[in-house]
Amino acid sequence: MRTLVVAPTLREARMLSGDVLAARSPDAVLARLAQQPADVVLIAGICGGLDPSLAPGALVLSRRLVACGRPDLAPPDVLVEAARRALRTLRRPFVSSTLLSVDQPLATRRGKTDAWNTHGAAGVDMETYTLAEALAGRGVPWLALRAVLDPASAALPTAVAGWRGEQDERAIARAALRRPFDWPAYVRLALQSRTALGALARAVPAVVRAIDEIQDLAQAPSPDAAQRDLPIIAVR
Amino acid sequence: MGIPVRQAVAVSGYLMKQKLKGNKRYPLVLMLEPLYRCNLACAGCGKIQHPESVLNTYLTPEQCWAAADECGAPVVSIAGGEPLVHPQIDEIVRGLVARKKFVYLCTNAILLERWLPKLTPSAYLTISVHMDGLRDLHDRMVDRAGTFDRAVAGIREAKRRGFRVSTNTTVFADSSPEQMGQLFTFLMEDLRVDGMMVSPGYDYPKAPDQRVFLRRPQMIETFRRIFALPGRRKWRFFHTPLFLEFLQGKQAMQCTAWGNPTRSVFGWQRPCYLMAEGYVPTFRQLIEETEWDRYGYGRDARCTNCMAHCGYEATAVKATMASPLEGIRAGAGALLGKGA
Repeated sequence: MRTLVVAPTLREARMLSGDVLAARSPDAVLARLAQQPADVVLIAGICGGLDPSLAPGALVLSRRLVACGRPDLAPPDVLVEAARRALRTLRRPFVSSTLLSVDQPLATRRGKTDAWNTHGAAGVDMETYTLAEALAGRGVPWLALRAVLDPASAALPTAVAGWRGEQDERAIARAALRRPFDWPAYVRLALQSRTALGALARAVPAVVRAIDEIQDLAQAPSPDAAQRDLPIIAVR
Repeated sequence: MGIPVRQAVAVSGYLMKQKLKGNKRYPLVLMLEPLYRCNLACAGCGKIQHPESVLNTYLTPEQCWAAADECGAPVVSIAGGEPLVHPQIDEIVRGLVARKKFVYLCTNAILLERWLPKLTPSAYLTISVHMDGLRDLHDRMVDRAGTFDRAVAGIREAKRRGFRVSTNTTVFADSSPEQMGQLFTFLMEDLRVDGMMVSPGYDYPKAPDQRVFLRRPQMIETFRRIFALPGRRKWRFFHTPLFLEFLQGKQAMQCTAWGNPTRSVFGWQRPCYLMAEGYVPTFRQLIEETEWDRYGYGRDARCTNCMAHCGYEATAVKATMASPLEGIRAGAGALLGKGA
């Protein structure tokens, strides 16, 4: 089973080993797959925490993807279960839960609380849904694994809140320099980033190995897994 | 007074001890279900749908005490079923109080007046009476006329005899915020209960009437309206301020299922008080062998509409302990009698 790991930013991609592509755009991922096919795409990166029990570095394995006004997406059960088993052996905090994709960072505590109450998503990012939607459209099995950067209880500093996915982070650095009162928040974020990327770097190879061991992607999920994948119907 | 100072101090000490020991998961309230038999069949109850053989099975006092010793939680909530149907309930309570457990004896109060002479008032014992609304709503929810009046009479008699009395209200789809407000004012001002507990109903799949349950966004809206009512400042809740804010959608919380472990006639119930996925013979097995990360809001579809205090109050208590500011707020609430 050949797995392509897609990391939305260069910073995330640099931390990961194996067949890794740094790309935020579905076109770039599909172009790469056209040149070099893969059986599974693992979307890996960092995310904002919405589940208040998750600390920086906790891992969120996607059981479902949600985005406002769009249909939910779910990865194959067999991938989720294989990844769960692999993550359990790492003995790191993780949950298999919902991931929310949004257009801009959820920067305030209030915004995160509202998103949590509305969607029940453990984490929030800006890329997974678009990538997964494109992959699902091409029939490519996918799975998403994110590590929590900023916990639900923390707001993001102003310059980061304005980030829209630019690979060049110099603009953020310049904006941060102009606001000295935010510097402690950037230091905290940098430390959290180190923790989150470290957790991701350890988890991704384990998940890729677990996916490699799957014989047949169409194999039936366990009854237990099926039970847990009842739709969450009441929160949208 | 809200939560008694003695209880607040004991629980704080217990939590600090757990922290110092480095325990990651520890119980706060033992949910003890010594029987499933009940003398009511409430519309929103999913606890009592068992065959006769199960309904006829009761935990012995020794089993109840052993469960309390084994789990070590400072608070024991005796639920069921209807605990006052148990022929040895006085003995069970006495044994738990002797162990210095803060006992909440949850009852619909139909049999309360009969049992009161056999119970002894204590700082460790609170009689917690189920009250889902004023007369019409309560009797409709419990599907039996006259229950409200029996409960009111029971509360008055318990207060007269010197017992600490609290109430436990479940908010359902039929409970309008105004009705809830009237109920809370009645309980505080007319019956002068020591405190109240409130929780949205959990959508038990086995409950006879599924229409009574609120969905999560409706729950939040209902509680926002309840706590915006003018009489709010006179109400005393046996809850942390954080939990009450959580009910109004102002705080994000994840469930702490292991905070309120459940011991029933089947054993230790996995994973929580409201969901029964199986039973294990020991508390240690429950804590160590349950895959806790699989349960909770966003993780398990059955948790989607759960905002019950048995899952989230433990989270709120832990968060209160972790924040000096919240600790002061809760402490002031307990001391000033505004409810924790």
